Amino acid sequence: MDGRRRRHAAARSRVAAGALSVAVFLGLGTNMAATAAGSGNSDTAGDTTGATEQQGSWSATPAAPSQDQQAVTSSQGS
Amino acid sequence: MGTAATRVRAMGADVHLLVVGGPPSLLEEARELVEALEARWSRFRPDSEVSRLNLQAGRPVRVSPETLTLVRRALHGAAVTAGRYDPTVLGAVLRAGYDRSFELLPADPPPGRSPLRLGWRRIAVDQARSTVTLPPGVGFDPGGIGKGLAADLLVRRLLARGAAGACANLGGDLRVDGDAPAAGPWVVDVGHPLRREPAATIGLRRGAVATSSRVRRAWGPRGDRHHLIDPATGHPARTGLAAATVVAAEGWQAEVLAKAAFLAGIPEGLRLLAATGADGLLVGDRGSWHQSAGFERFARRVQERAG
Repeated sequence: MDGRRRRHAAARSRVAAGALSVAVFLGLGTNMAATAAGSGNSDTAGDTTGATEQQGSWSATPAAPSQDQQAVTSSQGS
Repeated sequence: MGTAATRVRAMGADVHLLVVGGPPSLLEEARELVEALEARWSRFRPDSEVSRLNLQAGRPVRVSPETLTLVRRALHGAAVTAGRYDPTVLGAVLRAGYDRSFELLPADPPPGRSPLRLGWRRIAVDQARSTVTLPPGVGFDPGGIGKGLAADLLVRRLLARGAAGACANLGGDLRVDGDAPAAGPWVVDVGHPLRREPAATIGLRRGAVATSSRVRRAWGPRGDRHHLIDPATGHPARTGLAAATVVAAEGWQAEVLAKAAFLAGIPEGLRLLAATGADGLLVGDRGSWHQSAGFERFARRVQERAG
């Protein structure tokens, strides 16, 4: 029984953490760090990245290459 | 339209810059920007802004706009990932023995000592005064997000200076935008953590790619000590994954999500990607293959799906 309680508590904790991260991502978070960090996709006075993507998605713009196109660079891992 | 390219060493990584069109001075300008960012963000340079932040923890430190952005992005990344990505794991990194530039690290360094602890939620950013205050006893390590953000800044600068297209790749954290060197999208090989050949070849019109791998920046006799520290344990993470590659809108986002997905493992890592709209590919310790629902939109071929 204790084991089941612990598993349920752990599951609730994971769900809560997931909900928090989604809320922060969508700009609903009110904790200090999120406020200090601001929106990850907004241009502000101190923002030097020129980020202009729409709020709410971190998606890149896909375009699957054809078979004859060669890679110009690679992501090997850091 | 002509393409110019160069490779330099900066931020402890091989840097590959590609510029399509624009004046011939752009590559030199980009090199200077990389060096300037490294001078501000390296934790191995005592006079960098990051070193000043760490040395003066507990007091507000005035920093450049680029460093202010770096800290804000790091905090946002930590918030989005509920702390799976944590820019304050510096103490654990030092205790794991990673106390100098990786090229200078001995094969089997002894564990280090550091009293630094976690504390990203208590970092204060004052946008108006351009200051950052670390809590006492907390260290900030830009690590990979510095490379991802540098790629963003480089591409933005190159396009603003007249390039028709640009790619900045800092050790596998890369950003592309504008015209590619050839007709069609920017084409990028994704390295396989366990094989020589690429895991996949992907294409994107604009965006970023980052890969976090436990087989890179690994040390110790069995290579089991690596730089991907799990904030929950303070030790190099063992999550059943060998590498996580993420495709996102911006370099810093891809880097944050690659690290967080690696640390989250499967299936939590894929859920994190879905929640943010990013895509990615996770390769398990034995080569198993796990990709986001949208990854196929980027990929031309898949080398290995067994798992």
